[in-house]
Amino acid sequence: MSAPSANQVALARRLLAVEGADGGALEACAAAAEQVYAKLDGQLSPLLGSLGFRALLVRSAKLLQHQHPVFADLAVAQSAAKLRAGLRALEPATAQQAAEALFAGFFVLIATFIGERLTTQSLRGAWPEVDQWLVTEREK
Amino acid sequence: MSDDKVAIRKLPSGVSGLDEVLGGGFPEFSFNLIAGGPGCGKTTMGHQIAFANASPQRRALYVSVIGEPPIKMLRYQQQYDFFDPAKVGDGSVRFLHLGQQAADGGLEAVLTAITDEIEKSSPAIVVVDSFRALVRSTLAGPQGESEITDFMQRLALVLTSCQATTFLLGEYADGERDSAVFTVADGLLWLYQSVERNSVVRKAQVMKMRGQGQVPGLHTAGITEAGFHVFPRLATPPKRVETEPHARRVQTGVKGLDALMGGGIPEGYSVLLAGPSGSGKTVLSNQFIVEGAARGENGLVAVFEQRPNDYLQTTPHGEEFRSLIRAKKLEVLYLRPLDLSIEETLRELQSAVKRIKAKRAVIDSLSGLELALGPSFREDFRESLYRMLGALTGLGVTVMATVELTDSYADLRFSPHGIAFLTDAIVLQRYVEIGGQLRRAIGVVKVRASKHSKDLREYDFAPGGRIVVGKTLAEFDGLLTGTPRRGVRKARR
Repeated sequence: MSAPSANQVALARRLLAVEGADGGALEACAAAAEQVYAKLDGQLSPLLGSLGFRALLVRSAKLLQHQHPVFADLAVAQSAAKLRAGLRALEPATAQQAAEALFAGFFVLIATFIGERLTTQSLRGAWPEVDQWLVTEREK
Repeated sequence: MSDDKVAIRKLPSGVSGLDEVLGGGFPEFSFNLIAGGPGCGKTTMGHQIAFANASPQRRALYVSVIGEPPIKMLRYQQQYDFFDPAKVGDGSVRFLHLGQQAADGGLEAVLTAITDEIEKSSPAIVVVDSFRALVRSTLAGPQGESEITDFMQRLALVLTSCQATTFLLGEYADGERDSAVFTVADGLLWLYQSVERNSVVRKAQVMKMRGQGQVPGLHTAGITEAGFHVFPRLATPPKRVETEPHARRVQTGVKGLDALMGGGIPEGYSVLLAGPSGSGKTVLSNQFIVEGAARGENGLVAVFEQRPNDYLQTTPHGEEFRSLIRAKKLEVLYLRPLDLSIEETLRELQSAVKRIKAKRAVIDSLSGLELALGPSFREDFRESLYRMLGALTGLGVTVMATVELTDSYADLRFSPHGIAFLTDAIVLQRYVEIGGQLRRAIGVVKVRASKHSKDLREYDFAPGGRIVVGKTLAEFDGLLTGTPRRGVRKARR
């Protein structure tokens, strides 16, 4: 897997922030990650199948095992609730970084298969402002 | 009570050529099965139909059940021109994967999930892919057949009552039939893919389409970056209505030949120009085109053996042709893939005829055309050629087709294909041995429903590569036998 682009990392960070992660509180971060997971699931499982969707998230987790030991147990990436539980065991900053990395890695993988354009189109159902965020990131 | 028939709207398939074969498109609210073996294009066609008809007001739902993983399907399908991500983004096309439901709950769970989704989004188009794999797994059970019948009827009812036009995609081997599915379906479209020698040939057949007349038979098909496309089988050419037959003659550019033909070629005729290698068939056909251009009649030359640049370099009329091409008075088409169908060839020719409003066309040569066709299409060469010539002359184009003739003095044959009777006129070129020289003779074998000269005339190439027809070889007998004898008659001019 190639490293996530700045855009993909920024998108992951933005989604977590939109769902309540404030960069400080662990509980808010874990809850936001659960919410992002659930929304992605809701948008992408009909498209990719739930197995297909989870396979990509687990793959992203596997590739991050060295940087983020929380993913040593891949079950953490198997459901929104397990991700939340896994993150709650970490320091707030570490949890935030792990969640960002997981979702950014997921965006790399899905874009590899179906392209960024279709990925963005699919995310729009859950986050209608996603195009605007991406434009903002590109302008930075 | 009014006896007005219910109006059935026809939906465009989005597949080039298919609407014509279907009889105008898919009937709205119809329940259709698209069947065929693996790799024959069912999924591509399903996507094409969905994208062609989807809009925010008329949504399309693409349901995948068991088959290729959706992530790969999306990866590949988006390569086609018809795949519009904007329609995915705005919900015009919605994808739904029910693999888990199928695995956990079988047909019942799939039906429930489809029903729920339809109630939620009210799609106008529903595609279920691959329906067959689901049915196959159910068939294994003891109640398989009755369960499928029940499922089909309920699915058809759900989809029809919510006013959706439905397409089930199913993997079927040739000749395999599911009675329940086939009975319930309003439309049945079968796709084929076969390997013949080194060629892959795709075909499509509308086996059933309730309420409308379709074009019967197997139609050749293809898949390109534009998606699936069908080349409708050529219909029998319309009979020409000749109120004033042969009122206008088309000059060939060779005065002597015009005289032999009774004043030129009757407009809209097809002429077979048969001669051995080096006899000047291409040169004569080029003169026919150049003459037309001088008279304001645009031309089309289809070549099969050489690329246009090579063709223009080797023909003596290359420079004239180049300037005509620049002036958009001539198109030289190169058609050489080895698995062409006659329908593809004709489509290219007809498009070019319409594009430049051609009045004259040259097919150089029929031997090359035959080689360019896929092996299975060669078997129907005579029938296909008959239809092709009819379609071109039906557009008002005068056609000259060259054919290589093996000089055999024991056997006078105008083509190796037995196609001479298909053309309206035949011009024969031969080598003859006279006075220890290999000279050339030309004669007109037939001009349908028209008088023509019976003379055999000598011809030669003038400077500049033009054919000039000379005197009648009246002082010889037995020219076509290879052993001419000097007779008593004098040569006529």
